[in-house]
Amino acid sequence: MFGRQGLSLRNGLVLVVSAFRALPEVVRWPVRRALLKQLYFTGIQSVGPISVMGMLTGFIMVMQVSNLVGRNEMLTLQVLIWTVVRELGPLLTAIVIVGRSSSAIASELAAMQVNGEVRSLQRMGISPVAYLVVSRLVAMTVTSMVLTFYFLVIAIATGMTVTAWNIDVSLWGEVNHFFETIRPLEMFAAMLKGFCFGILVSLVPSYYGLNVKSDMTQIPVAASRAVMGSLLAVFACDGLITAVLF
Amino acid sequence: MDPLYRFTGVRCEDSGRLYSFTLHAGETRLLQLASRNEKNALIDCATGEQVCTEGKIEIARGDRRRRRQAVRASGERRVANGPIPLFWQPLSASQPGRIGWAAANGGLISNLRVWENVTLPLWYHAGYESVDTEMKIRRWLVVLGMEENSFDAFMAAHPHDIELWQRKLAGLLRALVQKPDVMVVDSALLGNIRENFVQNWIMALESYAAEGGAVLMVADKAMSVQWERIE
Repeated sequence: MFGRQGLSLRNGLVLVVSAFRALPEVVRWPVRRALLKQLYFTGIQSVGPISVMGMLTGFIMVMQVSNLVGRNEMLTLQVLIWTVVRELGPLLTAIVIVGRSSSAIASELAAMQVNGEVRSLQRMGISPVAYLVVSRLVAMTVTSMVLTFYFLVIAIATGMTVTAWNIDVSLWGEVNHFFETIRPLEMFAAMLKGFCFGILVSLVPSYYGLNVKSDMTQIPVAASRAVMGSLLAVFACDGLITAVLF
Repeated sequence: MDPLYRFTGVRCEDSGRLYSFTLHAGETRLLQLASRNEKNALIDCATGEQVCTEGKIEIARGDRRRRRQAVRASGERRVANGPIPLFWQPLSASQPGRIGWAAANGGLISNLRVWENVTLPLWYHAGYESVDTEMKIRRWLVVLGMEENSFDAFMAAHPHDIELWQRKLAGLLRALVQKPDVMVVDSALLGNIRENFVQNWIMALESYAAEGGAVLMVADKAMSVQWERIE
């Protein structure tokens, strides 16, 4: 009835269900080893870009808000929380992860598919979903949540430092105001978004990577589709969570 | 000899013939097919990657040592000393890892080092890091004809850094170290390598079978291997 899109949706759902059913496989040593590699690649190696982006975001936001509202420390802080904690933090972290890892995952899995390595795993009795997808799913989800939190800390710390320096107020007072102003729901929403985005930016590229048949020219196509698909999924999920929670 | 693995009226995709045979512990047998497609389809079925279109492939339930222990534990001494009760189960229902596979080109995973490739199925199916793995690997490397002073460099290399015969050797080593009940070998594994390696590798497969396993070599052209053919 829905043609190719319907088929893709069905295959995608099959992958999602298989990946969640295979989650217990993460206790196996080779899967854990693959998970550690992914944590290093997606997590540790992303700390630099996330730090720079967090600092720049905090700085830019505070400068723009200060230009708009003048010397109003409380309003500047409130806008920082609304924009960075609720939206920009999880979203920009997800965009960095998509840029770094989605295309890498899709092209790596697609190359494995083309070279017959996925088949090789199956012939050894190893589930490609358990070995290749679950390790990435767990690593990206953990990484996305941790990096989202890290981004928020860096962006807000930079924002508060710049505000304190710009309008000559006490940094310690700003920190106190921040903890008085922020609501648990806002932190929960940020962490929930980090969690959901992590799932999406691992499963969407895995789907595109594993769907390649045996044509080498399909590898870059899968990588580019994975990036676009991941971004669309992240924005759609962001809209949904924002609509439900706020 | 205990029966281990059997085909009953099996027809795989692209295959025109029906196959019925039983492999026993200690056996090394050769199955020659008409084409490469037929060979690949049969390997897919024999390793459990695909379900055969007709017939059934079964494996003896549980490993032989455990069955002996179970019989002894039940106190039936007479049965324990005699033939062991046999139960067949479909390949799809058997414990993963009981069928091993030696690929034509090694079938290595490119982002893993040779060491990780060799231990992958063993550690995946065993669920733990086997302590004597290194010893097993060294023992088989000697049998397969590799010089001892090149072990470490070989194990630390990535598949794209080594030659084809080394990739083939790593693939065979992986299957031997896994120690499955039945090993399915693509005959192309023995192609394009030096003659002394061919002899060593055949001897390794025979020695593996002598330890209680069974080897099924699947070929798509005439082979010089002097193993009993499956007609």
